[in-house]
Amino acid sequence: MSFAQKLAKFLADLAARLLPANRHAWGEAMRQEVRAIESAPDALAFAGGCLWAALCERITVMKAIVFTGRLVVGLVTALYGVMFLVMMVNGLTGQAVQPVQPWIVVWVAAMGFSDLAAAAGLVFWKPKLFWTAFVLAALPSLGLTVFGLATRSDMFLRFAWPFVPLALLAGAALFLAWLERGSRRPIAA
Amino acid sequence: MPRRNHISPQTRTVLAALVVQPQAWRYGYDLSKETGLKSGTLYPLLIRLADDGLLETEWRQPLQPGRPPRHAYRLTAAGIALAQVRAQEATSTGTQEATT
Repeated sequence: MSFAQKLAKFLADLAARLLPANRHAWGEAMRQEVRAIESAPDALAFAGGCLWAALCERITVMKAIVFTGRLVVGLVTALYGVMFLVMMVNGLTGQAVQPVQPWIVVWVAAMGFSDLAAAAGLVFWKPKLFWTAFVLAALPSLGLTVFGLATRSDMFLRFAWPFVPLALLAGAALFLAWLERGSRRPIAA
Repeated sequence: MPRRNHISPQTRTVLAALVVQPQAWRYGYDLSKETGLKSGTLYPLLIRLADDGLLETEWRQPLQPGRPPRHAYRLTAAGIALAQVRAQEATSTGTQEATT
C-alpha cells in the first residue's frame, strides 16, 4: 500500500469518526468506498472530499445544538420575565402577600420587560437587543445594591439576588455565541 | 413525496445520473466520476436525498472475493418521479430557450 493510499485511508477513517452518530452508516460507506478505489491519487482526492463532507455534516449538527440551546435558555428567561410581570400585576392590584412599595413595582416591571426582551434577543439572536435588554435588567438591581451598600441597608442588598440568574444568562449567551463561531470554522469543528 | 421546489444543479445532476438506470445499484465513486462532483459535494447530497426518502441504500457484497462490501444507491419510486419531473422541466426550458 502506497503512502497516498495510507493517507487516504487515514482521512476516510477520520471522516467516519467526525460524522455524528446518526450518520455512522455514511461514515462506514465513505471508508469502504475509499478502500475500493484502486488509483491512489483518486482515493486521496475522494477521501479529502469525504473529510470535507463529514466536517460540513458536523457543523450542521452543531448549528442545531446552538439553536436548541438558545430556544431552551430563551424560554427559561421568558418564564423568568413573566414571573416578574405577575409580581408587578399583583403589586399594582393589591393582591401581593405584603403591601408593596411603588419603587419595588417599578423594579419588578423593569426586570420583567427586560427579561422578555432578552429572551427574544437570545432566541432570534439579535446581539444588540439581547445585551441592551440585559443591561436594562441588570441596572435597577445594580442601582439598588449600590444604594444598599452606601446606606448599609440590608433591605436594599436583598435585591442583589437577580445577579445570579443574570450571570447564568450571560454565560449561556456567550457560550452559545462561542459555539456558533466555532461551527463557522470547519477546521475547528 | 417531500416538496423540493428549489433543488441545486448538483442535485439535478445526481438525479439525472441515477435515473438513467433506475433499477441499478450505483456506488459513490462511480457516481462521482460520472457526474464530475467531488465526494465532498456528492455525499451531503446523497445523505439529503436518503433523508427525504428519494434514495435507497444497501450494502452490496463485492463480486471479487476479499474486497470490502460497498454502500450502493438507487432512487426510490418517489426519487424516480422527481428525477423525471426535473428532466422534463429541463427539456421544456431548453426547448423554449431554443425557440426564442
